[in-house]
Amino acid sequence: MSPGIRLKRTLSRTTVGASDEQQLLYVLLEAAPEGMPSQMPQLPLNICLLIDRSSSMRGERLQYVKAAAGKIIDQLGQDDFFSLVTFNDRAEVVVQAQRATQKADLKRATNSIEAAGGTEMAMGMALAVQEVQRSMLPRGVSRILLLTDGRTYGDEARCVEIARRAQSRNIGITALGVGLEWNEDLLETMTARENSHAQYITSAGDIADVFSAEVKRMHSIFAQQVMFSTTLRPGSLLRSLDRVQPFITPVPVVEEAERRWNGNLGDWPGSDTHAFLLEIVVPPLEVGEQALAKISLRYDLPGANLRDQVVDEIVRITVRPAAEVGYEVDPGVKHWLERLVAYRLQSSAWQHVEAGRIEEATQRLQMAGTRLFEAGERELARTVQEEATRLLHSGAASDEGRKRIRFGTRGLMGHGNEERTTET
Amino acid sequence: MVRCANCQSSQIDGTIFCTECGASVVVPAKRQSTTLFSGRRGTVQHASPVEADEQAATPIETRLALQVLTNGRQMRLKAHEELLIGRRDEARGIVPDVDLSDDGGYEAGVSRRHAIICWLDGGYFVEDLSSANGTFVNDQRVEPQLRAALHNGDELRCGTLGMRVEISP
Repeated sequence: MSPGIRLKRTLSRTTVGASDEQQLLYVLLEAAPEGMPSQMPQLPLNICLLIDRSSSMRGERLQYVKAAAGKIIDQLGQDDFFSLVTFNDRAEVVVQAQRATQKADLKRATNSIEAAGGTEMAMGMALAVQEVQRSMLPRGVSRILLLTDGRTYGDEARCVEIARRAQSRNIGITALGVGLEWNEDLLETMTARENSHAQYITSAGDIADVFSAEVKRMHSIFAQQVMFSTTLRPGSLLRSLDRVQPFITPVPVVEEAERRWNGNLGDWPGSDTHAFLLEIVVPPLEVGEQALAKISLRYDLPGANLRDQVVDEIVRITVRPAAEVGYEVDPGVKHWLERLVAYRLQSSAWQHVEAGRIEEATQRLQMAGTRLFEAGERELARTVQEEATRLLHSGAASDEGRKRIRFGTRGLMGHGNEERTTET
Repeated sequence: MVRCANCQSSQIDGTIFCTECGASVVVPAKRQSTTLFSGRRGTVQHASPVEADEQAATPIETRLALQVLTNGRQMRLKAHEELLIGRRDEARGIVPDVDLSDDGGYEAGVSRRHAIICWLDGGYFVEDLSSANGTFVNDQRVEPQLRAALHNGDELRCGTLGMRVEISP
């Protein structure tokens, strides 16, 4: 069997009633590697650790970061590149981009970091991008691993700008926030592109696990430049495309031509489950078997030296007289939709809070809690309910609750592995 | 188009969760025959003053279920002389038979001891326990000291939290 990506799609309903109105269908698209050689060569990694060394990092946090950096250095192979940039009021290259061969030297340099001063992230970002580009690999995986515990003031827009420049050059950003002070809006915005995400580390003791899991993910990348496209039946609309596994994140799509939408799905680690949820508005349908959409992924398999591979899937549905059709919804689709809706609701709740509409915000959070509860995420549901109550009574949510909800609903909290074990 | 029962917004057919408020808008097929979606039943019938010495015969065959409208959660209730509706408060030893704590009961204005459902003369009745935000059957307030009869398909509301009554013979 030639290696590739296999697609599996599940419709919210396999049969719909004939109607002279538009209908909404949800499609769960799950993708998995198939026929991969068991010994895929690892892609070389070009990784830059970008560490906040402002005074608030002093003590335990910095100790954990150093231990985590040491662990990463141990994980890297002969072909991997490593660099280390720190920032407080200014930025500094502690380790220039180099092959991770002299591990003892790299660790010694890492251990020399001291915490002092303020937080100015943009200069750090600029230097990190510079280091990664210094040893840009013709084929490989480039990432900046940013860890911060504080707020940068006045240079937020510059941070986003540099992040976008990096992402356009195929340098992904993993932004990790530890503690309660960091700016989650900024980190979420900076990472709202392919190959990037932000994660909330609730306890400094987890830093090493999160770093290590991230390096493992990158080492397991099997497909790169995965591009999504779909061509829909006339009169249809792709309302949304969201990644739901390994974590929830909206995928920006552009209507490239009439009825044809594209989106960039980035590089795919083999250690992740890849699943997406599409919302498709379909036009009035007549009784019979109807084709709704053609979904395609185009991707490279660098480990097998294959480029521009394509996998297609035609989405068909059975249309029957309306009276014969029930309302049964596929439980798998419903589960992920429930989680996605919870994420959207909390997101809209914070917007309402910003605008001072506390009652609307409370209702959104309340409903997010209900959705999570139904999806079996009981602990998170309780956190959401507590914050809803706090919001209603005091007009504000707690910093911690807000971060837990924002990242918890996406499955981006703590280790990064625990959320992925959720069964449908 | 379908109408969201929670926020009244219009949603495209096939929508599972309302795009405005996030409530479930999936309509189970059997719900079509109930009063909630095929028109209101009108006035609350069989309201009668509470009498202390009535014999409560336990229903053996009759099955009662309540479905929370906002999230679709269904509670099958065991035959019981009196069923308490409310929110649990373990510190105060309140453990309602119908516990709405996890359905947004607090925000919806459900009291800890909100109402009771009882079986009487071959039918189910609801009685408000002087709750702060009231109990309603098909949008009619259940007056204090009175019982209101419950029928299959009725909408029972505690504060702003609506439930659909399902009674199978």
